[in-house]
Amino acid sequence: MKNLRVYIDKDKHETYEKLVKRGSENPDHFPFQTMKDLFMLSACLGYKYDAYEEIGSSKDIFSSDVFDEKVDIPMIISLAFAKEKTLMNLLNGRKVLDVAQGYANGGIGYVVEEIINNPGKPLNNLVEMIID
Amino acid sequence: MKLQRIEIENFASYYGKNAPIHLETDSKKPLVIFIGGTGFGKTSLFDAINWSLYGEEYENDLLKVKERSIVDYLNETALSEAANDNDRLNMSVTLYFEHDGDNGVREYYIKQSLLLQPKKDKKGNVSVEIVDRNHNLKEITPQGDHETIPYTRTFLDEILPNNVKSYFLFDGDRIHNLAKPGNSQEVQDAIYRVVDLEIVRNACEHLQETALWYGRRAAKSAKGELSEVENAYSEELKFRNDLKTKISDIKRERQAIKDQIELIDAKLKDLPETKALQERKNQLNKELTQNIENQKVLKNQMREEASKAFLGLANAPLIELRDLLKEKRAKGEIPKHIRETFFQDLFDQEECICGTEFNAKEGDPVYDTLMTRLESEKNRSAEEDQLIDLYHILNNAEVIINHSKEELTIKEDGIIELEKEEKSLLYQIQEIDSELGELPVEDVKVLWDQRKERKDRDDELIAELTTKQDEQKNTEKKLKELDDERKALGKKQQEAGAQHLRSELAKQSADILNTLYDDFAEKSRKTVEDLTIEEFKEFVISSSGYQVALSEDYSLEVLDSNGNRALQRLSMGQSQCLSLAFITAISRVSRKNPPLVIDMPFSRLDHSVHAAVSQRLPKLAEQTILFLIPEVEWNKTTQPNLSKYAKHVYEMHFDETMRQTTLTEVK
Repeated sequence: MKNLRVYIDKDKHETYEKLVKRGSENPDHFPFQTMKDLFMLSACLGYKYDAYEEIGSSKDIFSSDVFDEKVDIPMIISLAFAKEKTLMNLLNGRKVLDVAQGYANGGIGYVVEEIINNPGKPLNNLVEMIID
Repeated sequence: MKLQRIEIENFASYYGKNAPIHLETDSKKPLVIFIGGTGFGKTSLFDAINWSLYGEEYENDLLKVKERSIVDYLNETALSEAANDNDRLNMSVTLYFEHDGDNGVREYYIKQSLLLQPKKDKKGNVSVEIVDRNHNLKEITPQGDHETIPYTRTFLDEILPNNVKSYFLFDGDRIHNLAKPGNSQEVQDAIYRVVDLEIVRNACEHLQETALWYGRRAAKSAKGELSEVENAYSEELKFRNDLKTKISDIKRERQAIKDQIELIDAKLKDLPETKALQERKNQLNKELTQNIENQKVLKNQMREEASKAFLGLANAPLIELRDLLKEKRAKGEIPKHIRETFFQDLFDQEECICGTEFNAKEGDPVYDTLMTRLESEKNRSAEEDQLIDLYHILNNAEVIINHSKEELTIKEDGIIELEKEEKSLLYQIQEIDSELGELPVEDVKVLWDQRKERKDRDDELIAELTTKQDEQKNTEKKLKELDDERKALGKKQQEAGAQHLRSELAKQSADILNTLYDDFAEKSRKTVEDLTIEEFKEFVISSSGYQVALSEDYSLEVLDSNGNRALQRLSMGQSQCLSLAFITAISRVSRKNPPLVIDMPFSRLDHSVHAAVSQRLPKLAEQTILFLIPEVEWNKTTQPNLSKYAKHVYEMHFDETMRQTTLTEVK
């Protein structure tokens, strides 16, 4: 899955900008170091809450090269399998990525709700959500 | 600028028209030294140089700092004689100097003079009033003509601007103070002024004003809905600019309060009653800083782990897919290349699985059928291989995700422990604070109350700053929305559209300049820091155990080899050397190449550093003028180091009866 662009809905871009911060300052309030991290969590929550939502006006935010081959890629393929229920097309990078984008588009709202809008520091909320 | 000579008339203890005092130096002998005891007229000469250059501006400084009017400098004997004769008299200072300007090196002189009228009251007390004042600035042309140049700030700004003069013409106390806690504002001002950051700041403000002006014009030329949007935009822009100023003011006030608290802490630390408690508090603060740093490191690690662990939130499809592939693999449905081997076995045996025998050659119908089937399977085998790989990757991913989740749990426990420790440390610090506040000693109580008052104000400022910064974010967002709206509406109204464009350009330029300003300020700070470190090593031979820093909030800081703050532990001499190192760094960064005039540089220095400082002083600038106290500063250690670099050495004599200063040059 090399050299493909990853897209999000234009309207959601501001949320991405707001939640992602590189560097080691203030991890409490910026639980995501990269756009990719936020994208992956959104996709997972989109699947969890069955919130698949096709992208409307698209904006590309990063390249597929940044996905971790050991964990991110198998998860993206698994999400595509969950949606399509067939082994067909699982090795087609663009197609599986499109499915992940749909889940991430539907899931970003849940990230804001559970991690940002809930009381407490965003990093704590994220950790609690994972561990519980 | 290089000073050449000074002529003094009836100024302070210099009676009548004095012979010119030569100040010129050369590259091999850059020093001019004046040696005189306390009250012999060293500081008056220092004041004379300042007055000649800055006239009434310096008179205002004298009123503010020394509470002395310029007429107080009139020589007592001259005044008394003039009063007796009912004559007017002059007080003047003329300074000759060279300046390397746009037209090369030129000679100038600047003269300040007052015509004064003495007045006697009925009791015989003499006062004086200024009848006339003159200031002349002249250039001596290569042909020898004296051409008048308008005495303006522009010329002085080029040679040595008033707002930076105090970093080149300074006294011993000033050297002593710079490295003391609580002077970060002065250190910051010094850097900002010598690198002309004020010019950039003024340009930013001018562009912001320009953006507002065009915004208002756009509002005037707009009609209908656009007019309302334009007005709203202009108001929001003004509100944003005011907010920025307010935020900057709050930051400055916080810095000033921080300085004051540092000063109070330094005083408290020196009081014997509080020493033990302060030391304990410092230790706890150190532990607290380390604890917060450890939490930060751990939280960053948690963030890293979380980016894998959260994938477990959607592990159901991962497990389902893995199990499906496992099943297909068990059934032999993947990979297909097992079937390829199987076909090969059939070809070798020349017998089909149904028992039909065939000839494994082209043309045999059974062989041809089997070959066609094999070819179609071959195309799919690469994909099948990848599915097998995917099965392994899925297995591995599950292990990694579970491991990250476990790590996250461990790290979260670590954070809980650190947070408990942080609370305990804060509680212990509060306990010490209240103990300090309850100490019966009056000095401690007063200082502690002052400290508490400043800390409370700082807390208020922190809250105010947060509110203002939030407001700034909101106003930036609103500005953008209004800007989009006015652009859309402005397309329909040409005149207003043109004004938008200008307003937007001015605003963008101001924003860019603001960023440049911050970058430039930070780079200048770093440069001065590097040079201060370099100079400090030159001044203090034993400095290797210390690391000098100029912190981001512009405090001169010294750390020992363990990284602990050591400014308070420096001897007075070392502390003065740090100030001198900083001043030298500033002089080098300024590139204005002005002379250094230092009043009593050794007065508070330990004798132990006299040798190092006196070796370094001749190398500080192209021209350095020193005012020294005999024995204390001009002694067996400093004299050999300084005299070989001195172009002129003057001994000052003071006649107690006549209250007059005279100079003799030591050959």
